[in-house]
Amino acid sequence: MALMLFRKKTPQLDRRELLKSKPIHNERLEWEKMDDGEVMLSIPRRRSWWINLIARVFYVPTKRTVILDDIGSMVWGLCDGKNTVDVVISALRKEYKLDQKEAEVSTLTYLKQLAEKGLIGFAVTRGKKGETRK
Amino acid sequence: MNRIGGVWTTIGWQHVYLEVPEEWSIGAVSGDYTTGYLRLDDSEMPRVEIRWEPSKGNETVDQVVERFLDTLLKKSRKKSPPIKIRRNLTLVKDSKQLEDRSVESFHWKTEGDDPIQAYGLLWRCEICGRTLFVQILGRLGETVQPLATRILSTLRDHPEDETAIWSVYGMRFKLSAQDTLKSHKFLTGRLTICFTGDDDQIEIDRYSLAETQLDGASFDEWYEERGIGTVEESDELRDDSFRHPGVLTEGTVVDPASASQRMAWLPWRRPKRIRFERCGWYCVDGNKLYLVRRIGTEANRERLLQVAQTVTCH
Repeated sequence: MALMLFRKKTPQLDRRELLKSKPIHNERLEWEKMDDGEVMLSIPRRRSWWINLIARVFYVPTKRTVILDDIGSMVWGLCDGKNTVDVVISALRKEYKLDQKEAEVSTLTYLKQLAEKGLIGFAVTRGKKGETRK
Repeated sequence: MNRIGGVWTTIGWQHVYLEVPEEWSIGAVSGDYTTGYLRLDDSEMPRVEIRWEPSKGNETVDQVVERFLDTLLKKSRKKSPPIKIRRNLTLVKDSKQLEDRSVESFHWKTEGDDPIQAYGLLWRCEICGRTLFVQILGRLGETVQPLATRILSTLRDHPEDETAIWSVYGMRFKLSAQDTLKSHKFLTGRLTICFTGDDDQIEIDRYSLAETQLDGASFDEWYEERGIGTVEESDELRDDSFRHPGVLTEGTVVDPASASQRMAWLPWRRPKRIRFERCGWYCVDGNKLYLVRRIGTEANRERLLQVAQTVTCH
C-alpha cells in the first residue's frame, strides 16, 4: 500500500487522445530489420538485486531477443513518432484489407502490449499551445 | 462530417436493416429478435444507436418520445449545462416507410466542453410488432441532419420478402426470414454466426488475414484441417454464381446435442450421426477465407449453396 502511494501514476489517455497520439520506439532499445522484412528487437534485461544475485551463480543473458512477425514488424516500422495511431490503423487496414473495427481493435491491443512492456511510448499533444508530452 | 458523398455500407441485424457510411461499424450488440440493442461507432464516438422491443401497452409513440426526452432532461439537470430539445421534425419522408408505422422524430443537443447532438425517431411497426428507437449522433458543429435523413430513409425493421439480410463488418448474406440467430462471435480476425432453421443449423465463418491464416499452405489443405466428421463426398465449387473457386464436402457428423447428453456411453443412448454439408472459399481480393456449414438430420445441399451464394465477400 505504501509503495502504491509513491508509485508514479501512468497518465490516462481518452480515446481521441490515444488515436491522435504518436507511438514512438523506446530509444534505449536496439532493433534491426532483417532481410525477410521482420524486425528483431534486443531488449536489455532488467537489472534488479535478485537478478544480480542469480547472475553470480548462473549465466543470465544481458539481452532478450524478440522477433516480430510481418504484421508486428509493419506496426513497429510505423511507430516512429511521426505517425499517429490513427495512421497506423489506416495503414494496417489498407495493407491487410481489414475492416475498420478489426484493424482498430487489433492495433490498439498490440500497441498497448508493446507499451506495457516498455517498448514504445506515446507522444501526446495537449493544451492550447500544442504542448507535446512523452 | 461530410460523409454523404462517401462510400456507404449496409448493416443488417435481427431483421433491422440500414445503410451507413463505410467507416461506421458495430460497436455493441445485444439481445435477440424481440428485444435488443445495436450501436454503430466510427473511430471516435458512437454514431448510431438502435433499440428495439415489442410494442405493448396503450402508450402512443408521442408519449413514449415525451417520456424518453423527459428522462434525458432529468439526467442532464444533474450536470450542467442543460439539453435543448426540438420535436416534430420530418426526418422520414418516404410514404412507403410511413405505411403501417407510427413515427415520431426529435432532435436534442448538449452544450459544454464536448457538445453532442442527436437526430432520432421512435417508430412502431404494425407488421412486425416491434417498436424501434433510433438516434444518429454527432458533434455539435457537424451537419448531422442530412446524414440522419439519409440513414433513416434506408431503415427497415422487417424483410420485404421471405429472406432477411444480415450484414456485419462488411460481410453480407441472405437467409430465410424464419431462421433465428443462435449464437455469434465477433473476434478480431474471425466472425462466426450460427443460425437455427426448421430442422437444421447454418454456421457462417469468416477469417480475416487469409495469407497469415494459410501460412504458406494451400486453401485445400487449410480447409481440410478445419474439417468435421467423416467426409463421404468432396467436390469443387464450380457454380458460376461463386466468384471464387472453392471446395464443397458432404458427410456425417456426431450430433452435438446427442453427444453431450447424460450417460452417452449406454448402447441405447449412443450419440447419433447426422448429415453435414460444408463449403469454403478463399477471397483473394478481400484477403479473407469463408466457411459455410449446414448440419441437419437430412442432407440438403441446395440449402447450403443457396446461403453460400448470397455471401458477399467484398
